[in-house]
Amino acid sequence: MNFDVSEILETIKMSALENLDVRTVTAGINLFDCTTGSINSTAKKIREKILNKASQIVPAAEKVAKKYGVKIVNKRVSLTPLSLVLAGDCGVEELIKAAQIIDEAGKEIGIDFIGGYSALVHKGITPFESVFIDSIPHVLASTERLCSSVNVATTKSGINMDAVLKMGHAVKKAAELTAERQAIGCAKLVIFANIPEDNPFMAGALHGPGEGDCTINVGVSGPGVVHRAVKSLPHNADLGIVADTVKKTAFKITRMGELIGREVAKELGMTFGILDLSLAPTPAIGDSVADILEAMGLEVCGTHGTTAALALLNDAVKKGGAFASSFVGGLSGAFIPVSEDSTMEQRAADGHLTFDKLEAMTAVCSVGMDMIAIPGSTSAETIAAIIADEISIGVINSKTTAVRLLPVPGKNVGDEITLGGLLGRARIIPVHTKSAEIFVKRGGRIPAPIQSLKN
Amino acid sequence: MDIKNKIEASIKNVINDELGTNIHPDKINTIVEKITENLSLSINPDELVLLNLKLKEKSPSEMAVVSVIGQDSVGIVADVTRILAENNANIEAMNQAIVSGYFALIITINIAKMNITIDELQTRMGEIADKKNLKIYIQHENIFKNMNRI
Repeated sequence: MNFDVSEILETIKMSALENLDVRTVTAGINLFDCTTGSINSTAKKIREKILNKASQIVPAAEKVAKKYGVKIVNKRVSLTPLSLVLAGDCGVEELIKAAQIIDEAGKEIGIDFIGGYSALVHKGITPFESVFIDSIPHVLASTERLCSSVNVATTKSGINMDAVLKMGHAVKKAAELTAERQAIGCAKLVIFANIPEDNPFMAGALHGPGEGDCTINVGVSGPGVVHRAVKSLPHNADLGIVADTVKKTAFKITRMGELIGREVAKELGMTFGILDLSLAPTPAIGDSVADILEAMGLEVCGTHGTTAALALLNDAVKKGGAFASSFVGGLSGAFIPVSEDSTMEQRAADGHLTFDKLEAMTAVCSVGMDMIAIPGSTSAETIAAIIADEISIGVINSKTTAVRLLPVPGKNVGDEITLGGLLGRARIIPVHTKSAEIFVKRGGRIPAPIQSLKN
Repeated sequence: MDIKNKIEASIKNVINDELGTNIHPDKINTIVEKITENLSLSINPDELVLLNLKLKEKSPSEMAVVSVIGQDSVGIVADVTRILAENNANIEAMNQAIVSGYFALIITINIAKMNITIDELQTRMGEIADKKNLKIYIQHENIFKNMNRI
């Protein structure tokens, strides 16, 4: 097959200049065959299974990356929610020890993160799950790679407000326990509504209970590529043309991602699960979702028009992706993690992009209030109220939403924190200070919305 | 089935696949008979056996694209093609242009019989790239197929 020079050069330009990459290859591993009845021996069996199934993930990904000349930034593992596998009569201390054994397996095979220190408590919390959630901040403080996610609501079951309040306290505790490291524990903890079972992105990756034994899920990115394409349009190109341009670019990115995912899966003898086409920004210059919105014609991301521009972007990305692959899953959309997106972080620091605007944006994109640094003095109840707001957007709109906040101890509005690597840096932005304590302490469940009655 | 029938059947299949109902069956028969008649006059049975072997031998093909981009200088093509030849990578197509003031050389190579891996070839090319201030990318053809063809 012959290719045009322009096609070849375009592909090279995307990966060499515009930060096109496969953001993550994540091996989902089912752990139901690891339960033993004793938490310590279960943890050891989990470690063995990770070593057995995923030990080759790094070399396999590197081999495929070299074959196609495309970077694969992260290699990860996602596990069956550990609250389901470790369930038993045990306390926080034993859970921490088990988590450390599992974390160690990640280090041994050279991966970046392990997702799945997770609980699904959208309808109710068992006594064990209560202990499990209590252990999350301690686990995040005493492990390096383990990430945690908790699903507190679904459109089908409503919002478990007891779980929401509990997570408000868990976020606070995670921040306190990692206070000397800029509350890094909170960067590894996400609270979800409608959590996907096959998301390859951290910190929310898990291998859902309905998944098979071992699956490769791939997350592709490329805000830089989309930005360059939108920027090259003349100012008088109408929004239909803008959407079409994004769609075509998303198509190409998706096809590249699926090719890489299938090859890595073949190398590892695993099945290929899904491709998550998400515009996931990085702190690198030119790899920003905010840049795309500004290229559409906003003076700054955060001003009026931002939500509409983001809605257009998110929808066009999905359409391009869905045409390119039949196995698009996970979160698939545009992410808006503030600290990880250099332009977005700057706009938030300058006061153009406010907390409330970020919440509105999550109604039309993937995923939620993500990587936002807030004052350390913010109470657990206020954090719970923020979670409840964000989660309700997901529940009512039958979509995934999530919250990942950093209430950095000792830091106030305007202070800067540096998290490093892909997590970037952030300036503390203000949240509302009036109380919602009585509301969030009422507890119980916000009933499932009428749109859940579809049968 | 004797060899003549086999040839006739295979020619009919090809014509049917390519033209389907666009051609009348009687016309197909006439064409096939003429071809086999010509063949029987020009090829002897031994040659037919050889032809069959040759077909089986037909080399597998797996392509990769070598893209060389950077400042123009003397001997780039010579250096790059020498390494390809040394490692048994056959050149199937070659295209050179000046794009936006930059030298761009794109070579499609058959890597099926190459005696080193793409990774190792990349390392060898990397030496030239460093010496001549170029960027050399080697990518399996599937990435271009997947990104540009439906």
